[in-house]
Amino acid sequence: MKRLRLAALAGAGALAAIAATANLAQGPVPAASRDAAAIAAPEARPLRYRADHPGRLPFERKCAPCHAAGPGDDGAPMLPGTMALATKYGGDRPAALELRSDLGAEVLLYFVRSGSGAMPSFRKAELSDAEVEAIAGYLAATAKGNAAGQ
Amino acid sequence: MAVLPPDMDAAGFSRLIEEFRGAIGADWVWTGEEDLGPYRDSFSPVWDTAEERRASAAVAPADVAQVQAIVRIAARHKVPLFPISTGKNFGYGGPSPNVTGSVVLDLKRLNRVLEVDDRRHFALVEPGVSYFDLYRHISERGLKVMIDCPDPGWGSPIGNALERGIGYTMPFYRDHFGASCGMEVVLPNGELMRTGMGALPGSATWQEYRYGFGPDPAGLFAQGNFGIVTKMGFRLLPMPDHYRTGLITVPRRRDFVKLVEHVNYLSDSGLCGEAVYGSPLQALMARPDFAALATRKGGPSDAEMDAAASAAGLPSWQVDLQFFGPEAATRAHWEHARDRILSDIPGAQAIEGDHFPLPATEEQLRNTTQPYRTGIRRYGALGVPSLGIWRIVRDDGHVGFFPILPRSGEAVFAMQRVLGDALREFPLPPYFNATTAPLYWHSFAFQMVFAPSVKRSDPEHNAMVHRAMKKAVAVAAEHGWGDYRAAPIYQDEVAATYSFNGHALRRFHEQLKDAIDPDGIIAPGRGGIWPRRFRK
Repeated sequence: MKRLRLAALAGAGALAAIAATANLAQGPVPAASRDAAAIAAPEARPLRYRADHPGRLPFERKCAPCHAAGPGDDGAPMLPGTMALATKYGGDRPAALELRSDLGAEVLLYFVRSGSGAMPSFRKAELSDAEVEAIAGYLAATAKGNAAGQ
Repeated sequence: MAVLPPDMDAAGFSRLIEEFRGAIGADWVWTGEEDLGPYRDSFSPVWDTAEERRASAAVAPADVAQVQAIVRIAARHKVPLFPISTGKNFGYGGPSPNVTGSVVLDLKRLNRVLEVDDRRHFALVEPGVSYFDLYRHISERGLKVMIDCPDPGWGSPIGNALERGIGYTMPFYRDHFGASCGMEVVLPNGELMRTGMGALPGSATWQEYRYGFGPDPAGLFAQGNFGIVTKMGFRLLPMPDHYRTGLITVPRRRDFVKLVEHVNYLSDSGLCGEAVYGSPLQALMARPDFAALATRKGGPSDAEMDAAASAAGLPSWQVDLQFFGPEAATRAHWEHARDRILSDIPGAQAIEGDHFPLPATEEQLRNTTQPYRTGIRRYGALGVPSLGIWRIVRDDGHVGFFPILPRSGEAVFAMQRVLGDALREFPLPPYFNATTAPLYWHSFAFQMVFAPSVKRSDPEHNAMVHRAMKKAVAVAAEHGWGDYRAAPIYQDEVAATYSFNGHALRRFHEQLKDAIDPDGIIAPGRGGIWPRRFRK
């Protein structure tokens, strides 16, 4: 009993400590509420299919670390980009990019080159226009495959 | 074309760009506003103001010979270059230069992992290699080494080390510049130089003996502007057999002094990895009465804090400990840490965490296997690159001030009080309060964090943040605490605080800069070092 109680107490501090010790940290007060908010929006539709498409590799290397489906780090229910879109759309659209059928190359290029909120923009030297177009193709094929599988 | 290089007209700029195109191909030279947008600092608190530093062009060479060609062209035209590696220095200026009109030299295409040796435990990489790339290279080949990476894995080992970035494993490896060994540098005249054993033709020890013979100038290229690093070696931790965690709590505020001394001993003896300090009392900050106490001007008394902790049934401090090595050694080190601390601090308690062989499973990496909620971020702790930490980025990013302070409980209490009081006038979260724990990122010093967010749509907020940053730097320096890393817009202020003996260090740097780069071809102003041409 004593062990369990101590464990719970330690956890109370840890939420704030996670933010306070992060390399990109914010202040301690909003940290706990941010984490609580983050847990409130699970992805409704699981990703079951990934297209065999030339855009898959650049997606997995350049986009998926923030925008993939599935859980995030250290107990977070989603990765940061997926969480940001879950919050933005409130369930009206899928939060995971691989389930989105409405992201043509033009839309992707806009967000890739301009950034959005916490997402910085990406340079041509690291992600070419051709790669972004391939990613758009991969996303369309993947979204279609997942829709067909449902 | 938004801006021009210093002292250059449009015709001269056109000639410059044509020469760049001839040297590396037109596809890799950018001058349009749309293409240069991603070279702005997207976390900038001075976005769209006169203080923002913007590039006139960007060039992305494919190899070292092209880097040399660009430097020689820039030198002929007296145009400053600003080298970036992967360009992810967010919170510290991103890819943006010190001088408006600079040409950003984007090294992303130099992206080869040249060597990883898991018997002599080192890597040699180019600047465009990211931590993700290096990790993938090692994993795909089943090499038995662990990297040490900062929170977001898209950064560059070279770029991060040259910014004196940090990671989260064993002390020797967390200091990324300290763990480097050997570099290749393009000098301001375009010449190629190698440091240490790399200067000895035929040597096979470039990544094993850092110094070679005579002075080692490698330090000049970290947070400096004396050359462009095109290759760099890094020592790597042999993949440990086992990983283990444990948590220790202490009841009273003043117990932190002894706790820190014990953990210093453990760390400096090589017995533990990064120790993650925290205060369970942070959970009380949502209560107005406690928040008022913890942020009170002049600081609360120990007795008041202890009474609050006691009333809430919470310990005052905790430390997450981590151990790497053979399983038996990790157990012995944990038991030694536990016994050492619990026998010296009345009321201290210990909880065993989880432990497992390395490399970790996916579930273990996701940190769901601890018997308690932990302050450790598991990906970083195990040297696995991730972007999961981006979840803490709010608004349009943030700026960062991370003052260095001694590894002592008294110093922690002093910084809580002094910077807490100094920043009270700003409507920001109380980064410094009586529950603020130090960061044990660098191997032999503490830091604390001040990282207010910026809001591109709210210039008044950003201006307030900008003022708060400058005040934090100044007040900290009055107490002997200096920043370790800064965005270009703050580098002059920070460098000015390192002022011993009439700024002897800065004057020495200026003499060096004047000797090898008087026209400021390489990143004038970086590190607060300005060549004669730009000194007012």
